[in-house]
Amino acid sequence: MSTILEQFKAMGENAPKHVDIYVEKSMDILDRIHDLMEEEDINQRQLAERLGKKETEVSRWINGVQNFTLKTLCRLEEALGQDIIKVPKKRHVIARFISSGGTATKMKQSKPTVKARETNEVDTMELMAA
Amino acid sequence: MIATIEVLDTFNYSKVRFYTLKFEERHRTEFEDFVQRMMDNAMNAGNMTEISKWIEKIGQRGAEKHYFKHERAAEAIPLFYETEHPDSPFGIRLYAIRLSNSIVVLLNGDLKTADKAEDCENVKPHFRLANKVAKKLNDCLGDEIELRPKKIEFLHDDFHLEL
Repeated sequence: MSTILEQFKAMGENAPKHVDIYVEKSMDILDRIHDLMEEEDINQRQLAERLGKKETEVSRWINGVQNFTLKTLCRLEEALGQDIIKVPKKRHVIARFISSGGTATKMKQSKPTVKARETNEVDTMELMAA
Repeated sequence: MIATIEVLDTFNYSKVRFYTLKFEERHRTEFEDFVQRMMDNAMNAGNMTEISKWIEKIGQRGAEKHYFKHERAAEAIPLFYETEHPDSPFGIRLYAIRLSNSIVVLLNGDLKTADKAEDCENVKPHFRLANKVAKKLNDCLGDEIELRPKKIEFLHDDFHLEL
């Protein structure tokens, strides 16, 4: 018979996928905000100054008293000067015909994940030889 | 009251080892008491599932400071809930002490019914205990305990806290 702690652990392991995604994404966003603050070499107080907010209010945003709203994230992106979340767009990249005998083709760009953000920022082109 | 620090074997992950506190005269550890009491109420299922998931993810990713709520000298989880608790907008609060990126002491908690922990009769004793233990452990660092990767090294066999 499993103990109460084993049952509790199993609740997390067997949690619905959306719970897993929610916790994982929350942590990714927190990592991103703190990485950007480190990059900018600013603390919570200085971030609050950039936002024109009280430190206590900013603390509530980034220390988990309340969930992030889209508006909060946008304000933080503005203050930190970089994306915190990036939504992949479905688009077609038209490859250029650059060599004689080549044929231009279309390809769908793969959807970057939040984690893959940096590596997917450059448009990908694919050339197919005729 | 005399208390000791015990390893939570069930919650040993790649990046973090979790510990808890046990009072000498109590049958259950503080964390067991929290889990047992919260799981007795079916209304808590959503929040408890998410807390379990936060513990798992912290265990796998490392106990970064920003994954925890800061509660004076102690910490608490989780930072956010997806599921709102049917009885309180504040949800269940589990108090903890983050000693390093790889060592976390999980304590006790309850359903939080007021914005400030001191104004909530449910969580106030757990909030106070967490802060008391955090200060005591901090005082013991170096002389009585040392922090190794994923391990608290007790420098004396009879290590205990008087709370």
